[in-house]
Amino acid sequence: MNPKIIATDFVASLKNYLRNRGTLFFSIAFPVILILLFGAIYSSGGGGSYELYVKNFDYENGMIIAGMMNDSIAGNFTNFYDAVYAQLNGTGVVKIRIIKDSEVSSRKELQDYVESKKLKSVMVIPENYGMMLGLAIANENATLAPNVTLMLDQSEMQRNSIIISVISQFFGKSNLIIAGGENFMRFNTTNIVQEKFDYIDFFVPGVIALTVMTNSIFGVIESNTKFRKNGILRKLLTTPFTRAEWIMAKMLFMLFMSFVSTFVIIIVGMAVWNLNVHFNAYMFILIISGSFAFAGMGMIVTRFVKDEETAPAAANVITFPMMFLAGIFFPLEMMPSFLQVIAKFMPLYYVGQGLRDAMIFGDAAGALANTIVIFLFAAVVFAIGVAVTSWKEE
Amino acid sequence: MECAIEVENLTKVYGDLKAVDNISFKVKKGEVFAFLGPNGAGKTTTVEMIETIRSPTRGRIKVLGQDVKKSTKEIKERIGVLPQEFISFERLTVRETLKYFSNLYKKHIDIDEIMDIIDLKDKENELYMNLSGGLKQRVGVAIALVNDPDIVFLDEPTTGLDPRARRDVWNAIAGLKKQGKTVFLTTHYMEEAEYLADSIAIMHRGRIVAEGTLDELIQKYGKRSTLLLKGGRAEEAAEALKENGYDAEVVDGDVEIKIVKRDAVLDILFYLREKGISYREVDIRHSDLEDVFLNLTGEKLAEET
Ligand SMILES: Nc1ncnc2c1ncn2[C@@H]1O[C@H](COP(=O)(O)OP(=O)(O)O)[C@@H](O)[C@H]1O
Ligand SMILES: [Mg+2]
Repeated sequence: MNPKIIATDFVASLKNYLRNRGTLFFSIAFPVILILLFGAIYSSGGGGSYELYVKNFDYENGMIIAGMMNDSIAGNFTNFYDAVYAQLNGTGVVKIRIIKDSEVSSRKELQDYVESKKLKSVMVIPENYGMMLGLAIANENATLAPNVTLMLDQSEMQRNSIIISVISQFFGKSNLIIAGGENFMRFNTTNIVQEKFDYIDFFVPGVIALTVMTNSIFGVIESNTKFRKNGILRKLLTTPFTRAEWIMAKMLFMLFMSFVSTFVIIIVGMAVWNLNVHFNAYMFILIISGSFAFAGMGMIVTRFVKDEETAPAAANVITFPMMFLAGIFFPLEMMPSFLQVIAKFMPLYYVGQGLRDAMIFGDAAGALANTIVIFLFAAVVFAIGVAVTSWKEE
Repeated sequence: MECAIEVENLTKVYGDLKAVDNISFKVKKGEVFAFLGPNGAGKTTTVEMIETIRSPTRGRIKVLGQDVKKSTKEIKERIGVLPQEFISFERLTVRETLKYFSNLYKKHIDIDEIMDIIDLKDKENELYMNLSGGLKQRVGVAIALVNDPDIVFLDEPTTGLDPRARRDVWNAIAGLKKQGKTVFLTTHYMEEAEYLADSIAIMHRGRIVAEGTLDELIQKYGKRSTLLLKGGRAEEAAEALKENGYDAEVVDGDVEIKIVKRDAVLDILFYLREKGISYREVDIRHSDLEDVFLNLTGEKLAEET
């Protein structure tokens, strides 16, 4: 290995890259656009109304209450609580989402549910709420009535104040109707404390994985088809440039590109979306392994499709499904289970998931597992790629 | 004299096809050696085996006295190659391109010197992709010189160029010979071989069908040039010329004299004037490599010129 030759080729690749708007666009501008665009789409919060999850431990009794109460609250509803939901939805500010009994049947389950679904606002109506409320009204003793609990994510201040004001207004109005303004219906608030991940936290590692994939596969395809067709590989064979040096130079450049893209993507994510990134060794190993894995796949593609125009199309056949099915744009959990199984066969999934675990979630075990998978995959595929690529014309 | 290249019984087989069929030849140091033949003759296959980048099926090749199989590395340092249909890195300038290739070798000469020789100085900062076809090929020739090679291989360096651009490339190649380089030129243009080559090997279907200098080939395989004397006393003239050792005969009332040496024409005309034999009109019919090729193979060398 002659470092001077490797450096020469690296510099040439770099100049070629910087002078080519196409590659610059796809390795830098395109991922940045993706992040700005998708980040914006998912952070807009759904057009002005806030989802208010409701866990009602007293829904069954709503029919009895409706019978006891005067029409002014229950209206045409046969269940008191349906009337409440309708009123709240009617404000246009909140959207009621019922947490079904089949999903959550106890307070312990509720806690887990709120955490796992990363809910931001939940209204909890306690067991026998209606009975106790009725009892309090009958005894004209407001302290007998239990509190409704609002669980609120403390980081969402604006959202919380809007929800609180909607609920206060509704309860105030109800109290006026029921008992001339005395506070029979009351609520308290509790905090939802959870590490909060936005879509952008999910998306940025995916875009990095995606960019590493496209850079590597298409980079290899260019050097293996265009350079072959243009006689550059033949020319280099007549010089002292060895194949090992050539591979080394190209891989170093590919890693360089992968890291530059990663860096730019992270910077934009931090600047625009307040992304919080953990830098660690897994991240680097994942990006390096990913680059080798996808470079190896590119070599295997050009072993079978040698033509400069059709090789990228063949590569698209591989990269396109991965882009959409490997959990880059949407979490795997959102996809049907058979697609989730398919995703597990895609290297991009492990790079994306591993980067997410390493950079965002700080999940060392997850990061390690994904790193091992992609590292082994890269070792095998890259070795096959080198073995099947002939620089020589036979 | 020592040979730059020695090829013995070289054969390359692709499946059922003998792309190169048991050929042997030698290239002398310092000469421009042309491999002339139509597309598919086996020229590229042969040069690339000499350049160490394809493996022969059979046969032996020595480059600068060294066996290509054993001394691949040493040979690569000492040869310069312009592959067929070569297109260099699109987004490097001429200077950067030469620097790139120059860095690959242990030995290199000054890039400015090369640009002077090939006349590229005023284009040194142009991107390769923006150059005309002729300039690209000249850069290709320049690239083949960066390691100050003993042998320069040029595989069809002017294919696809217009006549003017072709001239420029020819001048660049002629300059190499002056530098004392051995040039191995591959072409299917007979004018190119005629203009540049000291020795020519004609290749057809994997075989070398004839080899020699231009004059030797034309003498041996061409119809030769013929001097025609029209009008006057044909019989008398033919007799006189035959007496003096010329190959003359009367055809349709004209005298036809086969010309062996190029300067024979003047000798003949002087001789006839001395003898006082007059004629009305003189005409010369030339033979060229095209004739040679046609006579050897029964086929035309190339459709285009
Ligand atoms: N790698 C190869 N595989 C199979 N056939 C080949 C290969 N390279 C050349 N040939 C065949 O060998 C013959 C000679 O080709 P080539 O040496 O390129 O001729 P030329 O350079 O004189 O045009 C052609 O018939 C060509 O199709
Ligand atoms: Mg050829």
